[in-house]
Amino acid sequence: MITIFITFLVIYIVVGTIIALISRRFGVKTSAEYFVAGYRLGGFLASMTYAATTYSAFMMIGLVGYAYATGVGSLGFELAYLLSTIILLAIFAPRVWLMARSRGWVSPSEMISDLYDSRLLGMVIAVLYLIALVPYISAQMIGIGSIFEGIGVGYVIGVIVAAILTFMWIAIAGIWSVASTDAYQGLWMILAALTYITWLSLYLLPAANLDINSISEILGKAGMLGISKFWALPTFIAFTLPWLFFAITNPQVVQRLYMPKSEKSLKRLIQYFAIYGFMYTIIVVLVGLLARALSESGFIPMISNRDLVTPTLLLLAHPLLASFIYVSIVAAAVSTANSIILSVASSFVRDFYERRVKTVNHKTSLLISLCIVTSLIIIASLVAYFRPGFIVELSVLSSVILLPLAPLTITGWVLGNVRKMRIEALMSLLAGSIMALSAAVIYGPKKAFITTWIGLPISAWILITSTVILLIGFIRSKYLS
Amino acid sequence: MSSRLGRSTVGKAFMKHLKYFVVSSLAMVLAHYLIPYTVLHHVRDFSLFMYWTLLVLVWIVITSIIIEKWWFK
Repeated sequence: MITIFITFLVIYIVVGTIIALISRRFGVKTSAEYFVAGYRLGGFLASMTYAATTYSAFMMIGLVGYAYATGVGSLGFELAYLLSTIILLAIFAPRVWLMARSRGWVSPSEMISDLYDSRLLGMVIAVLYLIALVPYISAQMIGIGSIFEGIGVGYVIGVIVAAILTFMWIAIAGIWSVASTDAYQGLWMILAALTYITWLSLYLLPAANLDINSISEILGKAGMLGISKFWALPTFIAFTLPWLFFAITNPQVVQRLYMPKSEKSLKRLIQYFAIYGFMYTIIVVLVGLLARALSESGFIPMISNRDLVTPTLLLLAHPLLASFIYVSIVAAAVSTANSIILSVASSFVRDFYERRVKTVNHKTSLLISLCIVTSLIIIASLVAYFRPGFIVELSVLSSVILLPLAPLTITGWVLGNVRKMRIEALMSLLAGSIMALSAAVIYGPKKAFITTWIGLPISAWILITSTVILLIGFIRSKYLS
Repeated sequence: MSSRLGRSTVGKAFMKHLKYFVVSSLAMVLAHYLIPYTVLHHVRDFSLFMYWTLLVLVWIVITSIIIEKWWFK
């Protein structure tokens, strides 16, 4: 198994690196080219990098486990994200795409800073990205380390491979190498998912004497097809709320709206992503449910640790198939990690250097980018290596910490001229993020995620608080000044 | 807010009917939450699975048509 896994891994790395090297021909001279491909990404690349960035190792490990342990509610949770993302993109993407070009936006923090005419706001957001997303990057590296550990290659080697790959595929050509390797990794991910469900359906289920009727009966009896106890409404809201706004709060996906080269490319970004996300979600949830049916029928033992559902199933697979799927999980983690790192780096380069100097030296910009990328990878790797409980758990809260950006961003996009609201914008952002971080310290990150105050999850209170402060700003700027 | 760049402009028809799309989308999101928790919460077959799947699929198709036809001028 180890030899086959390493062979697949080497093939994956070599092909990916060749693709990254080929992408150098697009040329990178300025930070706009390095971070947003000079606004000239084609539809296919734009959609695949959006998909591969969005869908992390969580899908094949975490979501499969949730579907196995908690039933169909996990489908509602993941599809709520997809539904709201498609809606938000349909409403805002064309305007954001046009504005990014006309105003020369490169980083998402710069976008908010420009809309509210506040440099301080841009810098605070860049720091917030760092706090929220470094644990998330570390979680991806931990995921890769755990796969290596499970196969017998060693956890530390997994973290080192993740760090080197992430660095290499960023350093070769910035977003060009990230987007092109994302497309390659996205294809690997969906092909592996299709192979996984095909193997389950055509081999494992017949071997267990299960057909669609018996599966429905078994899962129905186990309470997996309705709303299980786990997915009580407050929990469902707590899980879905931060993800409903993911498309406008997370820099790595907001930035991808600037990149398509034409109207047609922007359309394809959304259409292809929607198809990809829909297929991937359905497959992953089905895998979890079918695995549960196999456990309920006694074909495989009940799995108490939900993160071990995929590894347990893959023990029954041929090493070739198992390795192919394991490498797809590595690909999902790497494609998410390098996109986030590049996006966070863009915020620091733009808001702390380029927008503060009179004449931008592009070589200096690229050098600063490389230093930030390197530092972020080293920090994330060290966190992954030591696996401090609090930081690892904090990755769960990343979207909650970024949630105050939702009202801020929507207000900026809708109203356009929001300069007079800059003080309230800053207060709204600080209040929301301080609430999220305080809850993490008081309850612990995992509990903070599902804790409710007067029946509403903390994420809802964060959203309400930030929105109310911003609303006060709107009323003050419109009627009182 | 600026919605123009060179020859690109957000389509007039799209802007005109945007409010209908927003309202319909909100209804879809509400349906995503309400129906499963009021009608389908105790089902013992794949109807909740199919409900969520079809709801999102239908909205993906409708949204794709809207952005293809009316997004830009």
